[in-house]
Amino acid sequence: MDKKLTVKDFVNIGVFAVVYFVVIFAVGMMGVVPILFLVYPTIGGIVAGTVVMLFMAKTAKPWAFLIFGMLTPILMFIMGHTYLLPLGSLAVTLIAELVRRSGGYRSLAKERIACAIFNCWVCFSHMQMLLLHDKYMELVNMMGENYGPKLERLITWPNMALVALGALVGGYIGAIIGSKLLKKHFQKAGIA
Amino acid sequence: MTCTSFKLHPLTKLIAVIAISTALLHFQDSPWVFLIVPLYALAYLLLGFRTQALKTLICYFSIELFVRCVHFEASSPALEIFILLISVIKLFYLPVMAGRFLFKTTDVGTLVTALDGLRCPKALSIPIAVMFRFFPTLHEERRNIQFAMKMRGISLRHPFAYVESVLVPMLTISASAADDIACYAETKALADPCPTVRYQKLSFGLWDLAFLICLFAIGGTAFL
Repeated sequence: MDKKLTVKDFVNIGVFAVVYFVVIFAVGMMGVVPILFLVYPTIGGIVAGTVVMLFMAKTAKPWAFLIFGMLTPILMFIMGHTYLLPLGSLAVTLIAELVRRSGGYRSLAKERIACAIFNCWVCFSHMQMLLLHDKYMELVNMMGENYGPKLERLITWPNMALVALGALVGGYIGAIIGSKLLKKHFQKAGIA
Repeated sequence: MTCTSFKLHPLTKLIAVIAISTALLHFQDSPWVFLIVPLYALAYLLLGFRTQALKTLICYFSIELFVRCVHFEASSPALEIFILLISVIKLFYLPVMAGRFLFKTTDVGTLVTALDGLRCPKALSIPIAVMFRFFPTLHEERRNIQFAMKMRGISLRHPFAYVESVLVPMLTISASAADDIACYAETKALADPCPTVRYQKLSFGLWDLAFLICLFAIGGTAFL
């Protein structure tokens, strides 16, 4: 198998990054309710797992996943998030890429683990509140008088640990659902 | 009102998006920030997008009017969520507006030429160009999928069936679109390592300078 990324792979990266961004953005809208803001990485992982798994099946080559994984955080950074999001995402996506590599890009178990790890990048949009507290609170306070304080009470280190765990579990469940859907719909159609 | 000589370099538009997004916090308190909206509306108008110019103005000032004039106590959670949604839309209106302008008024060829000018590697420029091209396609397909789901009576009452019914056709369409675009790219010899000849020459002009000066002058008021 040729390991070098071709134009076809770059096109796949672009197309699936758009689909992933749209899905994550749609699920992210549930974050307007403060308590659901904490659950959103889990739900996002469950829903977007199928997109990630199909991408992995279609582009089993080194570094493709890293480029795919960084496009959404960069887009979110351009839309007003802090630098912590792309930086944290880079670390998480790199680990996911290395997990994929250790499985030779063909091991389903490793692909699932990579999907779960990758899903943790969403947590960095929450971590901004802990690590860049003042800057982020300034932004959140513009979303109403009640929203900021409510969210501030919810975003604590123990809660963040639960959010990260939820993101891992959600990502893994999403990967399982994704691989089942791939088998049910896409492999028969010759897409995956 | 279309000005044929009015052209903005894609990088000017990109700089504007990044500048607006990064200065988001400071912008919100400035009394002059609303001038950015007419600036973009004027740019749309000069490029011949009359409806878009009008839409940009009406949307922003309707939201602004709502936020400033309507003061009511949120008596129910649904109302509270509604008010919050409006606040979120207001908060991200300017960066989204700038991004939309970039998407709507730049064609893929120009964008790739601009990225090549920046010596951007293919690993980044091709996915960005594809994303650019694919966003409107997906938006159109979303409408078709929604229509098909309505016909089949699939609603959010059955969340699993709903998500499956959205994801499967969306991914099928995307996968086949990716194959089509890849074929198109191969035909255009994008993978060819020889130097690429571009039909259009891009350069920064007076309009770019004027646009950025106006934008930074308005933005500067937020820091005064």
